Amino acid sequence: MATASPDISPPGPYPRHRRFSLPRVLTLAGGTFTQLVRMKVFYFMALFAVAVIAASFAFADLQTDGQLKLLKDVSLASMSLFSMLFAIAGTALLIPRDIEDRTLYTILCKPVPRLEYLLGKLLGVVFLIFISLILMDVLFSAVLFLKEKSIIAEQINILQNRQFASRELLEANIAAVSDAVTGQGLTWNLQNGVIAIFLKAIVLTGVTLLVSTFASSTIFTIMTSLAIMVIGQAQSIARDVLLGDDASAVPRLIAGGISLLFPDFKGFDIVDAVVTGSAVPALVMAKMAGLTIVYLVIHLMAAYVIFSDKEL
Amino acid sequence: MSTVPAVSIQNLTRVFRLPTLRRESVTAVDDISFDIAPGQIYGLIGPNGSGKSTTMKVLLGLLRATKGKCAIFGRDSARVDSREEVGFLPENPYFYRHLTGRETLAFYGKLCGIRGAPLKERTAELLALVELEHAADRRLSSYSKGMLQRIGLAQAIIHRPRLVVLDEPTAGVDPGGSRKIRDLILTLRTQGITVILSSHLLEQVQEVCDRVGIIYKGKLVREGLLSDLMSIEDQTEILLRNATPEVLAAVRALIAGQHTTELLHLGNPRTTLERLFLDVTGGSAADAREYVK
Amino acid sequence: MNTVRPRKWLMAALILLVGGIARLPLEHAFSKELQTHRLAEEKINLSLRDELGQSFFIAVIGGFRSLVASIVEVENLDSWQEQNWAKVDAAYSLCTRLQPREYHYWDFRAWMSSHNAFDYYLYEDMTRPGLQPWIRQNLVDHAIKVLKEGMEHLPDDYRLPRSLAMLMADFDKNRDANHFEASQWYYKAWELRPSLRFLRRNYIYNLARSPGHEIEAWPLLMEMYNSGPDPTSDRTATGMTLLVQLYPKVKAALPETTLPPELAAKAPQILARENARLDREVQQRQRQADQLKELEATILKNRQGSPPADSPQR
Repeated sequence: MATASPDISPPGPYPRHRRFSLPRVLTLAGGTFTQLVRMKVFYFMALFAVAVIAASFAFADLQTDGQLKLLKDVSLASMSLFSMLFAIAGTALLIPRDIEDRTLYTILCKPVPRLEYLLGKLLGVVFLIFISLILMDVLFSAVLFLKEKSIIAEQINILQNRQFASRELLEANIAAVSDAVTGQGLTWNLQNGVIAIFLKAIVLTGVTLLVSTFASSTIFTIMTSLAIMVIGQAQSIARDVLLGDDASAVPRLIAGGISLLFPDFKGFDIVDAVVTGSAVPALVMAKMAGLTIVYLVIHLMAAYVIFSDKEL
Repeated sequence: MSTVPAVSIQNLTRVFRLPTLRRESVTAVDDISFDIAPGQIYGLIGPNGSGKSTTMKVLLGLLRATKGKCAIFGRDSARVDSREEVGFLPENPYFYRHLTGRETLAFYGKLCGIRGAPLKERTAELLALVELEHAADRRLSSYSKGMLQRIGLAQAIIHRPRLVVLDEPTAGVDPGGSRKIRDLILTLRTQGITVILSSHLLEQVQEVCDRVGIIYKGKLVREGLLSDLMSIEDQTEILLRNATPEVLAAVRALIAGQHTTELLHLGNPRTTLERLFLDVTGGSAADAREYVK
Repeated sequence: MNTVRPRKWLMAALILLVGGIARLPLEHAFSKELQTHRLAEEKINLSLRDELGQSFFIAVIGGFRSLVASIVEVENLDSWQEQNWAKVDAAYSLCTRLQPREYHYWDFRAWMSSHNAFDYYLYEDMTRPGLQPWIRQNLVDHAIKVLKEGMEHLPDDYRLPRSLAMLMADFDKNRDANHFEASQWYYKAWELRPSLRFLRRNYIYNLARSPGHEIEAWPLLMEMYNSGPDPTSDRTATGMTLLVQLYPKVKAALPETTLPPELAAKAPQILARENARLDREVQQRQRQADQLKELEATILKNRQGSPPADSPQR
């Protein structure tokens, strides 16, 4: 160290402490994002790429719409799986590790409110999922687009070289190709499916963050969050029991507990509908986003109450 | 000079409940009180498990007090804004190992509200200060213990805090580095920065601290100016130049009257911190040596 | 060590409960909205667990229904190649139950039955000659049933009524073929997709071929003819042929009916061409029937012993 005259500036004017500071949150989010990226999570992208490309070439015996549907199914299912994995495992690593490594001490000894710390962690993981989904979506859309184009070219070639007994048969075949491609090809509506996957992952991140505030280990956080996710898939069934007329007291009580404590993950499962070509109105997506915010607020509040009282 | 103490701890008690069916508890800190004036270097010493870390954690808001209050420059230490005046270097510091040295300082600087060009300048300044410019762009996972300690020190003072808390700052650092850290601590004082130093290296505490608090089994058994604590009141030292045995005898006789022998120093003899430590904790010399190791 | 105070735990639990109560009506309303827009998944029948196996069932519960359906279809390719039609139908039946709003599975289930399986029992399987027509008609009936069931789940998709119309107009395949019923299904398909004019034309053709509906079809055929000579118009060779064929009957019922002069001039050639086409069709059917008889004789000859005593007479 410089011994001649250590140049330590005397204490000077401090930036005025703000009770809530978005730049602080973003700093924590950026740190979290960097941490996860440097864990080489994006190597998963290679697996995804392999899955998508394999799906685009596999099973050429299937009909046009069958091939396109298979490609969409594999890609969207992979996106869903990876985003859930990032949401649970990525979040589960953060707080327990920060406590174990005592990195949390050095952060909370700065003027950083605990709520901002939680928000920063949450945003970091959400941003990672967002970037991952963008990359996966771009790759998937490109492969689907190219597959669609090659199918159209092939079908046009067939139609041009075939003799049809009547105009009706020719028009019917053209309509069939068009329907198969527009029904199963690349559409803006598919992006609604990707958005729904993203929103579901956000809710899952919030849930995992809540669990990690009281969990003693990463493994416990992961297992508990997985269990919550599975139960959440059946929450709508419990809600129907609760709100229905048929159930007796005990099942209704259990159904009530599940309905009130667990999020309804089924409400985000519109991927199947999107794959079959059902149009998703913008209002429905807006409501889904609104519900996501509701879940996030509830879980974040509960997480903050626990974490703010946690002693380190 | 401000009359508000840098640190004010009043009747601090911290009780931990053990997770047993008998609802047992451990009193880690038992009704301790002390103030630290601004610009002082305060040594907090005690054996392992004595309550030093608990006291520091309560001061830093990482733990709640069961009873009592802590304040930093007049602000309740439980408040988040009190920490803008505090820098902390924990024992065996761990930072995000995936960050480089430069990124680490930038990260903590941003958390303290420093951004842009001032942050860049401050980061460069501190990297030079702790002599880590050559390793600034390497990840912390490749740093040695000493390097981690130095980067930890840099992050502790990045926002120019008025109070710096150092928990075993020279642990694992070689003698040369240790000396440099000592010099840095002394420089902090010249800048008016208050330092709380917790260390097992009693010689070091003796070298730099103005005041010392000795915590033992949760209680503050001794506290005060180092010079006061280390003086033995019932003895007097006399320093003589060119004294002969006769003069020595005459000095004794002079106790009753005056003599021409030049008297260089007359005062109470000083014990060592080690001995003082042993006296108050009831340990043996072997224990003290072990402790010093 | 758990360092969170009990009252904070209670507070967190309270937040979750109160939050749950607050969001319950929102979730319920949102669920209903998804059902209204046909975006919600159909309720899963627990009996599917036996058909799917545990892993697939869990995947379905987990929201991967579409992928599971695709995998079931892919796994079914072997059955198709082995011509195990019962297995093929079972697989597509499962697909339609997993994704009842996916047109492709209904279409393929019907197609497999009415075309692939049908042709198999027509050309390849002669094990029970007396039973072949019955088996084939059952396959067609099954396909019709599948298409109608599909329409309940996809009421807005024109393709299923169109496929049904094609089956109802196929007199070679369907013993119960009926031009009038075919016309009604074409009309329904056209209502769902008015831009596809070939659907309307097919409706009119079949209506014209339905005994007792010639008068009803006549103005529609004339409208088609009057759409002009442009190749993209509705003036088709089939339409003109029908006009010429129906004219005597319609004229007898409605004496004021006239045929456009240019069409009247071409009438003999049109009728001659049509008769030649019908003759060719008859000859082709006769050739196919002869080939089938030869095939049947060969298969029976190659079998050891006489046909089973209980085989019904044709």
